[in-house]
Amino acid sequence: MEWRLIWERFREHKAGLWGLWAVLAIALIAIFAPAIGAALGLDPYAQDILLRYAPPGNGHPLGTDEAGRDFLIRLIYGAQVSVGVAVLSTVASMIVGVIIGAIAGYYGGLWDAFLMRFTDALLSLPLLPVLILLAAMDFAKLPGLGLFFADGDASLTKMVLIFVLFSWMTVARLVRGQILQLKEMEFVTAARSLGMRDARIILRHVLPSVLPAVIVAVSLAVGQTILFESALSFLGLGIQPPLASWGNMLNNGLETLSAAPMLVFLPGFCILVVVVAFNFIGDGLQHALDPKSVKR
Amino acid sequence: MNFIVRRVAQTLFVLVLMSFVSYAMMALMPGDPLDIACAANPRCNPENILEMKRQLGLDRPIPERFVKWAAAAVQGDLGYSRTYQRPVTEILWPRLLNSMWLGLLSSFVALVVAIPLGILVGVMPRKKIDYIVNMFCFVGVSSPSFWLGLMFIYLFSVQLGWLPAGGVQTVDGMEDLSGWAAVLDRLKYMILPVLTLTLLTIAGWVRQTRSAMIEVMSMDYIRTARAKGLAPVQVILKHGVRNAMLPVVTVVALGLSGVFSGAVITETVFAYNGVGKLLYDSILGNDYNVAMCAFVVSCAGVLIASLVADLCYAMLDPRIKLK
Repeated sequence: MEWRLIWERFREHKAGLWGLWAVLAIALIAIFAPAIGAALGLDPYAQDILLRYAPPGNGHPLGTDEAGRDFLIRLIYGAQVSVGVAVLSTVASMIVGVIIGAIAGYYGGLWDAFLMRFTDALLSLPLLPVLILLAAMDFAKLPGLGLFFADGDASLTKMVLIFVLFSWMTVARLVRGQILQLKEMEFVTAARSLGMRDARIILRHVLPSVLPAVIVAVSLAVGQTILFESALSFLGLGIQPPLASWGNMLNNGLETLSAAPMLVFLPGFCILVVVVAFNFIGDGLQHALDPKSVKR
Repeated sequence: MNFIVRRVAQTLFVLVLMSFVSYAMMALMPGDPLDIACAANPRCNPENILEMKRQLGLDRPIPERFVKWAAAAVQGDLGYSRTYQRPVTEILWPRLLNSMWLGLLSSFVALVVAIPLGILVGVMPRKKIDYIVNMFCFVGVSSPSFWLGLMFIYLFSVQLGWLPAGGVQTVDGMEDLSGWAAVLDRLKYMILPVLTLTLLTIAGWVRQTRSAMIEVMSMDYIRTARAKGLAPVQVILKHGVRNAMLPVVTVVALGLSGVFSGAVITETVFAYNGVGKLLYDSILGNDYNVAMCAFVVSCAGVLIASLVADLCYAMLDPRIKLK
């Protein structure tokens, strides 16, 4: 489908458009977080034990948190981490899913049976308990991986890795199903009779037709990943302080609730807004990419 | 019958595999219990640890240890809890019951609200009420449950002081409560967790029911039913709902997994002593015997629920043969 046409149809979907603007705005804020911090003279990691739970004002636009750090700049840096981790791991898992789905669907037979059994097994697991277990693991103890998880931001790498491991399955099944149908089509037979290599047929002729469905699935998956990351970080198993994520800012939620309820409300509200925005985009994309869908 | 046997065998296989993988993963957790015990004792040296590990069989390869653990677990010996200093079975049962009550109550509430609401907006898409309900559902499936729980605590416990912020039952003066008073006391503690759980479930289930209803109501046989002069209510209930419920049953059955596996986040936020909170606490506390069992129970809950979902689907849909 042509990009102009897709954009025209996407624009018809008002909620999707709102979602897109919201995500773009948040992405801009996240990207320019250091610049904003410098402009306001705020540091997300500077603690001031004497200034815990300070009310808004006095150089701290939204007050300070339980360690006396400026809340506004932590919220902004939190956007970087929360949205960044989700987008990164979703895109990576999409690539994994497309590859596995394409192999299973295109080659069929034993490959298909093995890969799809594996996919089904992973899909049947209770996601949250498994994620908690994985997040609690010390990855540095794994042979060969110690190097990647030795530095201070290890929790970031770990989160992305965990989410990639456990979110490629939907895309893989989607791609496989589509390719199973497509590979019987004449244009694939034609390409094969021209002597094209498998990789080229998959990349040039089959994948473009699968892409719309994958894009929709991915935009919906970003929201889910943000929710899971924030839940893990809330439990203290995800992104580790001093790094700020919207989830781990609520880590002390129960204690903070009586001292400064705003500090509990805002991070969660940010999560809500971003996830709603991504879900709206997914809805809008579905409308734009699926010719059969009717405007609601 | 063949289908059922195969499906049950598959579930058991995944469960055993899962237990093994999680058993192996526990070995990769930070904080070895023996190291912790040793660190507390000034006279302990590295040779002591090695000797202890040898005596306890901890120097054996993981597969061998797993087989021993599994053999004991099947016979009802789940080991001993490090933090609670009691056998795991004693800890697990009350937690399981707590989780089941919470899960049953919230599933029931969600079911009673979500299905009728979904049918209602499904038969009148693009009306004002549809937009309102749809909006609510979008927010529902997008809100982080722990935040929702915290907000409820703030509103109903901190500000209004109507409900307890967490726990399972009143601890002080429990001896005086009996019969209905005790039940009511426990219900009071369940209101907020149930509210949190149901809001999220309702949002998902309404969306499912709604889209299933919309799809079914556009079918030819609905038009036929209308054309032969059936009352609209009859068309909706007898021809529409019955067919639309097929996919919904699966989703609902899957949702029931929480009845057994517990809700980790909600239970943790409200300090509700269920399996979910047990899993979380034991993983954080390096209590591996407990963590193992809580994890396997959680997995089993979800696997059984998806098994039930598949069987329901096969039984309700005559197009799928059980053979």
